[in-house]
Amino acid sequence: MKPIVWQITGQPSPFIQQKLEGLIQNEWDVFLITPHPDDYASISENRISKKQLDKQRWTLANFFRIFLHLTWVIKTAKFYRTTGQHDFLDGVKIAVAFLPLVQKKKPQLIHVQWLYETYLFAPLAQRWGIPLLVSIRGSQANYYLDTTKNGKLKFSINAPLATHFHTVGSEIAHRMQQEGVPVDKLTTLYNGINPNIFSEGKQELTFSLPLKLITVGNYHPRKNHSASISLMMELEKAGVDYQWSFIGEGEDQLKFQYLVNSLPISSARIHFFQNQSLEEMAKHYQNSHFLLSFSTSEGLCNGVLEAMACGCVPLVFDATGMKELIDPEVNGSILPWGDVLGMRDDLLKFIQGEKSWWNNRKEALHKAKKFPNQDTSTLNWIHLYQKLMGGEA
Amino acid sequence: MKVFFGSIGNPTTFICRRIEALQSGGIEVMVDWNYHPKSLHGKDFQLISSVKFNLKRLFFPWLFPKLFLHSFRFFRQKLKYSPKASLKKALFLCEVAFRQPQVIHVQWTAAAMEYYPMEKVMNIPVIAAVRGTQLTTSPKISPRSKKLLEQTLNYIQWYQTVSFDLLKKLETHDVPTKNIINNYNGVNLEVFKNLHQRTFKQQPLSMIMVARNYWSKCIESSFFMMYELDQRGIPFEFTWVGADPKDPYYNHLLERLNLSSKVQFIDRMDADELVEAYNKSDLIISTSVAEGLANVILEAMATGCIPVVWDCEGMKEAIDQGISGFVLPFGQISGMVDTIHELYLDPEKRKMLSLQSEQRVNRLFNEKIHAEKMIIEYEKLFNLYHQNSDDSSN
Repeated sequence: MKPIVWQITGQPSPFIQQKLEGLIQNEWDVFLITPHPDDYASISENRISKKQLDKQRWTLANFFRIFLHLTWVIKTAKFYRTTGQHDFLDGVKIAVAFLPLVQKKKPQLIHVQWLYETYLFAPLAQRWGIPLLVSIRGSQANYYLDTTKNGKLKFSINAPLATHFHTVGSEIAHRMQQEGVPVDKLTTLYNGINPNIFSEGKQELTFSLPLKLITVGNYHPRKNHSASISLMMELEKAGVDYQWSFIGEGEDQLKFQYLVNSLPISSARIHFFQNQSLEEMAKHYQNSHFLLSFSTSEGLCNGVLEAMACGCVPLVFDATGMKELIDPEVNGSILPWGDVLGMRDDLLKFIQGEKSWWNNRKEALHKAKKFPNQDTSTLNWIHLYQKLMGGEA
Repeated sequence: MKVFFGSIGNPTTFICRRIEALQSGGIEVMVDWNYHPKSLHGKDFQLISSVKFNLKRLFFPWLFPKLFLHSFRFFRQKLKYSPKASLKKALFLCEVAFRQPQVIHVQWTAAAMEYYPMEKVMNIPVIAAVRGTQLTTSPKISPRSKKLLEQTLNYIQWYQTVSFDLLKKLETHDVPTKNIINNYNGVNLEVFKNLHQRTFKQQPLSMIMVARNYWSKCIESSFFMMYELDQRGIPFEFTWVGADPKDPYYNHLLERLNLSSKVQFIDRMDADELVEAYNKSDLIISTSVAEGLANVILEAMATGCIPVVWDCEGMKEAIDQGISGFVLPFGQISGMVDTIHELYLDPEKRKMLSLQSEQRVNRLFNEKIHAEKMIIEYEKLFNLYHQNSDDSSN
C-alpha cells in the first residue's frame, strides 16, 4: 500500500512542484491542500482547496461524524480561538470541514510547507496520532520574526505544535535552535537543483564588457531591491559598461521601475523579465557574469545555487544560508548587508583583473556540483518521512 | 475675495497654514472638510462637508436647478458615479453655489474634476493644486490614479503647482503654460527661524530626516549612506522624524548595519519641536525620489540647517548648488557621503552654507509673500471670468 502524505502548500514554487513529482514517482500517495489547486493540475489529481473543503462541510454523512467526534470538534474550535485567528464559530466550521477529509484520505503524515498554518492541522495530528512535519524555508523563521510586530507571536503559536522540522539549510536550522527548537526536532535537507537544466551551457560566456548582471527575486522589501538602485548609479559614476536583468514579479514592481526610471542612466542598461521557466532561467544565468543578491534574509537561496551551477558568479549581501553556498574570494563574494559601495568595489576588482572571474566561475561550478541534486534531495525527504512514520514505508 | 478650498482631506499642517496665510491676506475662507474636523478646530473657516448629508441641503436644488441637473448628469454619465453618490455630490455643489465663492481652489488634484460643473454652469474658476504624488508617482504605479489624473486633465483648465519642476511636468500633459500658476507654499518665517547661535566645530555631525515611511522616500538608501559614513569613521547622529520608534522592520535593518546607537526614530513633532530639532541639526537629508517641493527642506533651511539631498522635483529650486546646500544625483550614495565628509571636515564651510541657506529661504520663500501672490492670481482669474461673462452679456 502506498504511504499517504498530506502536503499543505501555498504559492506553487518550482522546487515544491519538483518534490511532489519526485514523491509521486516514488509511489507515494500525495494529497494536496492548497489555495491554488489549478497550479498543481499537471502533478496530481489528488488535490483540494480550502474553499472546496468548506463546501463538503454540511453533508448528512458528516453530521454522523460530527456526532461521533463532537468533543474533538468543540475542543478544536476552542483551540483555534486561542490562536487569535478565528472566533469559536469559525473554529467549529474549520474542524467540521476537516472531518470527512481525515476519514477518507487517512494521512500517515502531514507536511506543512508554511509554518503559520501549522495550528490548523495540529488538532488532527494530535487526535489521530499523525506526525506533523513543518518545512522551514526562511522568511517565517527569520524575516517575519525580525521585521513584523506579530511575527514572533505567530512563531510562538505554531512552532511548538510541530512534531519535526525540515529546514532548507544549516544556518536556518541554527536560527531555529536560537528560537528554542530542540536540535533533535530539526533535519536539514537541501532542496537541490536539477543538474540537467542548470549546467554550464553549450556556449561559453567570455568575460568582457558590457558586464552582464542578473538579479532574481520577487519585488518585495525582503529582497531589498532598493540597494540595486544605488549600485546602478555607482557603476555609472565609475564608468562601468553594464547590462542588468531583473527577473521577478510582485506588487512592488512598478515602484521599483519608477525608481529605476528616475535614475540618470540609459534605459537600455536595465531589462525586466517576468518569472521564467527553469529552462529559461538557466539560459539567463548562462549568459550572465554575476548574480547580484541584496536580500535581507533567505533560507537557502536556490537562485544562488542555480546561478553557480550555470557558471554565474554570485556577489551577495550576507543573508541566511549564503555562507553555506559561497566561499568568499573563491567562488563569489559575501558582503556585509547594505554595503553597496563594497559591492561596487568588488565588481571593479573583477573588471580590473585584481580578481579572476574565470577562477571564481570554475570554483562556483565545482561547488554547485558537490551539492545534493534534486533526486538525492527527494530521497532524503522520503527517508525523513519514513523515520517520522516509524520506519514504515 | 471669497475662496472655497475643496478636498483638503485630512488637512496636513502645511495646507492649513497656507489657508491661514491666505486668510490673513484678506481672503474669506470656506473649506470642504471630509475626515477630521478636529484638525480644523480653532480655525476661523466656514466649513461645508462634502460627505456629511444634512436635510437643509435638499432646499438648494430649488435655487440652482440648472446646476443640480447638470451636476447629477455629469457625475452619473461622465464620472460613472452611482445614482446615490451622484445625488450627494450634486446637492453638495448646490450648497457650495449658495455660499457664492468667487474662486474654487481644489487642494487634491484627483478630486478637482468634481467641481467642473461649478465652472461650467456657475462660471466660477476652478483651480487644481498640484503638489506632487498625484502627478509624479501615483499615475505610474496605480492605474486608478492614472485614470483620475486623466479625468482631471480632461475637465480642469487651471492649475497651481508648487514648483517649476511640477509645472514643466504638467506641460508635458498638454496643459498650456498660461493656465498654470506656479506658487510656492513658502515657509512661515516667524515660526521657522534660527533660534540659537549655532556652533560650527568638528564634532559628531547631527543629521535629521523628516519623512513618512513611504516607498518613494527611499528610507533604506539613507541607511546605506549612513553605513558608509560609519565605515569611513565619520562621527554622526541621525534623527528620523516620521518613524515609529518601535517599527520592527527599520529597527532590524539598523541592527544589521550596526547603526542602532546612532539613529533615533521620532514618531511626530509639532511645529515648535520641529524648529528646535532643526536648530540642533547640522544637516537635513533627503533620499526621496519624488516631491512637489519638499516643505521640510525649506523649513530646515530657514533655521540654518544645511540640506544634502538627492535630486527630485523642486530640489534645485529650493537649493542653489554648493551655496545653500547640495543636490546630488538620485541614487548616488558615494556623492552624498563625500559631501557630508567634506562638510564634517570643514566647519567654516558649514558656517557659510548655514547662513546662506537661511538667507535664501528668507529671500525667496517667505510664505506671506507667496500667499499675497496667490491672492493676486485669484483676483486675476476672477476678473478674467467676469470680463468674459460681461463681454458675452454685452
